[in-house]
Amino acid sequence: MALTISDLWTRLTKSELKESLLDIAQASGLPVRDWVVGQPSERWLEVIPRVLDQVLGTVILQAVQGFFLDQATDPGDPGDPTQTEIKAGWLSELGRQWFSTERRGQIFATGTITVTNNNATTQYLAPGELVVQRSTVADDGAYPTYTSTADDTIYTGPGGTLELLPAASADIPVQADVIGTYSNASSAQITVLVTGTYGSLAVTNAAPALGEDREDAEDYRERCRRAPARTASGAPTASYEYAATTALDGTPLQRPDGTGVVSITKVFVDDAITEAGSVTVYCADGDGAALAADIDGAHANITGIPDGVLTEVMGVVPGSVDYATEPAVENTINVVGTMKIKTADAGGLTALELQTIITDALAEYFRTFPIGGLDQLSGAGKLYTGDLVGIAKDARPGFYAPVITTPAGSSTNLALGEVAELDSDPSTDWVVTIT
Amino acid sequence: MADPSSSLGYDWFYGTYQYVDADGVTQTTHDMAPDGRSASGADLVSSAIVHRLTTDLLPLIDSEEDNIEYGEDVRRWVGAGLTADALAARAAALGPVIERDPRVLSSEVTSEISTAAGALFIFKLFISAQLRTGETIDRVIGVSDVTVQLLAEGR
Repeated sequence: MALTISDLWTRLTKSELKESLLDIAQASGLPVRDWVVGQPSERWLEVIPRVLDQVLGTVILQAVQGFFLDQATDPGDPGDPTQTEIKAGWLSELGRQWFSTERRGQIFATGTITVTNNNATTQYLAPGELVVQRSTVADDGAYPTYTSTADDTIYTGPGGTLELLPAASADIPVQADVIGTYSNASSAQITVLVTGTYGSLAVTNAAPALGEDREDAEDYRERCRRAPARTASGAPTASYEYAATTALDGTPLQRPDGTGVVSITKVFVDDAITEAGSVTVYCADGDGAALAADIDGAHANITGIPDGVLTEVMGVVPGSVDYATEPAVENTINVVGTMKIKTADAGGLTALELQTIITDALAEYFRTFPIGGLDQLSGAGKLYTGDLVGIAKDARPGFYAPVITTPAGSSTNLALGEVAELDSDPSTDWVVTIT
Repeated sequence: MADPSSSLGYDWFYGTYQYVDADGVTQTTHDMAPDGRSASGADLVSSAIVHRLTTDLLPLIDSEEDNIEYGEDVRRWVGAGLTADALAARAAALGPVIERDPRVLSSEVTSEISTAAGALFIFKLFISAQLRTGETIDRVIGVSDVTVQLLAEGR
């Protein structure tokens, strides 16, 4: 039997494995399709495909996928055959060992809350014993909570406590109890006291508490692809791209102000396109232009000039070059359209829910859409309306008759350094008709 | 002797099985027989009934939720508050469960709670099943929280 490479990383279903077993048994002269369920012999027809699925579908499939950057996944990634728990696996190991590039993991949201003692008596707060809650509900219907963390400069009272007199206030550090962006809180959102043992305390947070989800698998693969350029001489384009996102030691690049990792995922290098002898690097993230703190981090790492917490920097700019790091220029593109779907294919979803599926799919497309667009000429390219039609139609099986009225033309131009930003409201820009 | 031509089937024997271990002690197990013997006919169906009364869900590829409702594990009935009336009602409901076996035409189950101090079994189930071949099998099984054992059989 001739195997293609894609056969090796395609997972057979248990049903396909069982059918294959039955076919082989029948070809061998065993009448195997009319058992009484539960009989010992029939059970073997159930056991064997399941064992094969465990071996072929997880161990061997992962081992094959682990050889290929495009195929490898970590547990918790879409399509990973093992489990849903987020942790390092084949992809992280492949990137670390072959590309010396570390995947950014999940990070707890941390922040500072101001606690005011509204009791008539002094309270002695101990680290790890004060639990507070966000006042706004999360997507799962629960309220994220946060627990106070140790800080020797704050807990200087009796027994390592913080002595809080009546009507006094103090700032204490807290960390989310659930890792990732789930527990992110804007200013003044952490206002609910959970711990009851301290009586009446008022809490609030002046600054946001922000965590991070694990780096998207495809963003990480892209950083790995750029990694070989860091050893190249003459500052090729990919070396700028790599240095804009990844630190000297292969870990995700940090912001100079210490507020976290840079969120840059898209980079365009204007290497003497606009002007001979000059290089400008344009940076963007999944939402649009890169943030100022991210630009600062990329600039320090690319130029090799230390900044803030970035003391060990890469430095890829040749001395003879006139260099600048800039946020990409946002080109907001309004997408308006209509779609149809049969009732049987709608699965009981409302029109608005179906419209949201479309805008979510478009957002994912824009998230990775390159700076300057497709089919670039001197850094300027296009966003094709026909591609948007395809993304919208493929957003859910059963969608048909897609029409996009805005943008009106067959394509939208993007200038050098421009990043497309989606503007498409599911409730006002899309109409899905359930027929 | 198992009959390969039996219309009720021919398969490995499994069920309540007694053997003498290396220390000369008689052990009782519910498993495939170590000598690899086969079973057929009413004996095979009888074993299947006991299997069905010790198994709730059975994995089955292509079924909904990857399982089918196969039987009822009566060992889980053992517990506080099991009165004779409650046991009788549950036992009566086992008839349709046993009839899920395509070889069983009809079945009735009655019960008896053990009252003797130190009884080995918490309750007994009396099973009467008419097979599609016309045969009738009667079985008595004893149930504790850890085992189901075939105590008597007849036709």
